[in-house]
Amino acid sequence: MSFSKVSVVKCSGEERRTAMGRLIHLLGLPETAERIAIKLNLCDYRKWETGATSDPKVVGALLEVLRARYPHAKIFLCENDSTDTLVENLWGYLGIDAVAARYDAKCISLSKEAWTQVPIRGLRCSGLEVPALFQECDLFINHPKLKTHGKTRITCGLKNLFGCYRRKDKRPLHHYLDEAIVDINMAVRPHFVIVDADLCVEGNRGPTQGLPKKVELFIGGQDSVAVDAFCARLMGFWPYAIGHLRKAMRAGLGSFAYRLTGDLGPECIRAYRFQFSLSKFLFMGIVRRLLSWSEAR
Amino acid sequence: MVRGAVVGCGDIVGEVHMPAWHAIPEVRLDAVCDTNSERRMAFACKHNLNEKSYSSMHDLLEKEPDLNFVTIATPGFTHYELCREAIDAGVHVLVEKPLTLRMEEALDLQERAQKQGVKVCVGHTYRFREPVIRAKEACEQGLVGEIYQVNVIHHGESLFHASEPPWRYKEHENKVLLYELAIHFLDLQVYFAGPVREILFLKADYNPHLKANTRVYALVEHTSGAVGIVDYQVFASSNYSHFEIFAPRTTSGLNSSHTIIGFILGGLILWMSFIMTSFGSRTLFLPLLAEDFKRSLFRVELFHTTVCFAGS
Repeated sequence: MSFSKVSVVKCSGEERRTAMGRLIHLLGLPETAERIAIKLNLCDYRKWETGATSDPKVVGALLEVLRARYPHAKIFLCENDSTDTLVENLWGYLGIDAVAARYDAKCISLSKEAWTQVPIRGLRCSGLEVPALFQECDLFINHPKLKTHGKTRITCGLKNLFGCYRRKDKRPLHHYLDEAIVDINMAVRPHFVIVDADLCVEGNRGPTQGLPKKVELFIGGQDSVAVDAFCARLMGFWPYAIGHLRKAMRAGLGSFAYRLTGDLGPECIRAYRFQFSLSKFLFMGIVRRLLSWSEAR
Repeated sequence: MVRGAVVGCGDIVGEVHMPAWHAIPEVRLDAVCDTNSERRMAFACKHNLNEKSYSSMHDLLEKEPDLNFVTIATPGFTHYELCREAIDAGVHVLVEKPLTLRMEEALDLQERAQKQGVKVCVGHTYRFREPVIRAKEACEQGLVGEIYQVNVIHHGESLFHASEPPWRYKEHENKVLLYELAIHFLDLQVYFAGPVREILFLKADYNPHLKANTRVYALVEHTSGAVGIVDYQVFASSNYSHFEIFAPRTTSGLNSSHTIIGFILGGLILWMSFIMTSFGSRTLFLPLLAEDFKRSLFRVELFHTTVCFAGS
């Protein structure tokens, strides 16, 4: 049995840049790269203090490390319109554009870029449009936040790529959310996942309206499923209970078997357990099913 | 029989207005007008209006001289021109809110309508919500005493939701915050407390990144002597909506998120909504009821309008 490597560093009590540098070192990023795309997590008009969106300081730390490693590379910070947002005005609103300018990176609103069709053997579709930029880059980093989610329990690397569906109105996709997440992860394959678990979100109102929780970790790996599985355990969930995670593993997108490197051993993760009410989650699941049944009628 | 024409074939007309119109047997919609030919043709085809489909208000009024009224449901910035043409042609007008974006335009329309002897009705549907009707009745019957304060508090989310038509994204040009959203509550404020005598305090926050006004706070004095407080926000950290009336003998709060739903489906749903509110998802079940609710609301309003038009 092969184990995927998941690296974890603590970012408390030291500069975020130093912690991010250690994580990048553990991940073993390639020596050279000319075009680097970073998919952020800007899903709402909520500032970084809420834990719901990418923290400009953490993005800045990541950019600083990448810029030092690849001084001549073109770096693109990418995000797509969501049901509630227009990314073109989120860059300034959330303060990401200033960080990008400091490290000579470019903010890319994916809805305004070229998209290309990718054939997949998905759970729901046989082909998806994906941003052409991701295909052209020699280093693609998925940079999600770690949050609870009222519908999928957790949102991390796999769920962050759900934002790469081209359509702005993503509500219809929520009727088969787990399958939609798996399908987009078949079409868009990041080289690395670097999870910003510094300020996270807990509670049943995640991912956007939950409670901020200070965790002070950066987590990374090449296997999105393994990274998400570790994050699920860290939050107090059994990975098999997370629908999209289980289906992604079964679809061959990655493994639940991982080997931890860095600052955290398996015995330490209990201390990080996230607040999340299973009874509320199950009740809301029943209500949601009743609603979709009623709408279908 | 009252003969009318639809001007603007957007979602609100197709999904909400038309079912409401169809439920009123005294009304016959005979023509349709929209500048977008693709949308107009699809709409005309669906409602059997193929032969009476026009791309401009001018053509509509010229070729359909027997119209009694037009119902205008286009973006707010187009209302003045369209209403003026219809009024000048002697046709009654039902126009979606806002009437116009400028005071002088509204006054001009009022003057023209009075000269022509036509009626202009603005679609302030919130007046026809069950709790509002009940509260108004109570006020008129003198059950609550004289209103001395009316508060509007609305904290909403993004202006850029996928369900919004794209023209609404340009908030600063269309004044969406005030004229498309807050206007419902401001109308209720005037409905209960009377016209505004003076704006005592006004502050609006403009966000340069969003190119939009995101908050407006106002303290107003009504001619009745009542004080009105307006706190209307979008992109807010919380999400709720409240309209409060204060009078000597009672205090009434109408929470649009569940009170109205409760009135419609009775105690069971009301109970459910409170349960769900405690789970932090009070808006979750709104989609279930929104369509039927909107249709019934518009049916009441359009019937009311029809009676007014027919009476003239």
